Amino acid sequence: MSEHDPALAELGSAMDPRERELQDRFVNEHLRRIFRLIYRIVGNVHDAQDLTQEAFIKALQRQEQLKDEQKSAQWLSRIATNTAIDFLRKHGRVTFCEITDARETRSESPEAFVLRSEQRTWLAAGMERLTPRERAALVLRDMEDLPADEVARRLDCSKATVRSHIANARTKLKKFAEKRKR
Amino acid sequence: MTHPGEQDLALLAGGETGPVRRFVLGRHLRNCEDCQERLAEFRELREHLGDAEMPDVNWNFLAAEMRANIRVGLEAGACVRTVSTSGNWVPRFTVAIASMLLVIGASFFLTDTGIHPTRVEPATPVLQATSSGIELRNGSDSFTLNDRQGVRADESVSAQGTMEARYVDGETGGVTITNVYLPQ
Repeated sequence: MSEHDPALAELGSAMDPRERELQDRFVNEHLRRIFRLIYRIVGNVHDAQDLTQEAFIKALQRQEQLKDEQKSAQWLSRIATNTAIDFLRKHGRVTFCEITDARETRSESPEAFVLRSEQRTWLAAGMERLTPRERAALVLRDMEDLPADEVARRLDCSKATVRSHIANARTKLKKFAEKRKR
Repeated sequence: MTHPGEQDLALLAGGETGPVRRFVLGRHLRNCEDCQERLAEFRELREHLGDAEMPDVNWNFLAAEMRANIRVGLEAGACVRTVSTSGNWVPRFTVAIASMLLVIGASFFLTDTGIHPTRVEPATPVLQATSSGIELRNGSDSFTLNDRQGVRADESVSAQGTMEARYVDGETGGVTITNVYLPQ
């Protein structure tokens, strides 16, 4: 579907134009960050796309939460994380494989591309060995670089639990890396 | 020498260890090359995770598709919300009023027990069986149908206001049946 879908135009808007503009701005500001966060947790583009849309719709249907910009960003991240974790719980472990489906846009040497692809494949295979919460904790702490107490807030659990998830996740990944080296 | 566990080193690599534990581990690490190497592997792993990139997708295309789908989802949600909010207030209001009336009605019902004693009008005629016969009483007036000779065997009363009494004559053994009909 494109942004100028005739079906959408026919549907008309049941929304105040100002409200619509506010929503569009909010989506534009956070879309890339939220997609990346969800992609890192679920591991594939198609699911990440669906879940990103779901997270934004959930968030924007509660307009009153968007008044404070700082809080709304954190609140959106929390919705996105929970949406991704719920998805993983319902669907079990997911497959990380998007390289064949990739639409390459950057210009890089074939060697660099192969190396990057190998690293990504390794990381994807390692992430598959983690539980949804371990994966979410690791993504938020080591990829999004959030402090442990913020990760605990996002995952709605104690800091001790987060530390346990992070330690388990790193240990599992390290063991996986060692097995591959042998 | 006891080496720290993998979990300890995993947390130390990310700076999540408490100050006391960090001090203890630091002392051990100063003298243990094996553990230094293990810690370095965890640090390398973290750096690797931090460098993880976005997938190779055409972001502009993907973002446009997501924006359009989010817009459709929001518009659909707004339509549903408009219909539900405009159409639901009438039945909700009706139910609220009906509930209030029910509560008020119930309170009245519970306050008034509704049990009222039946008054017997003194002028109402009463039909009764006595030891001497059947008596019809109306206020202060009475009429008795005597049967002194016989001994009353039994009597019965019908819902229609009829009274029947049977008397047995002790000498002859004859039975006398007396029926009295109370006028309605």
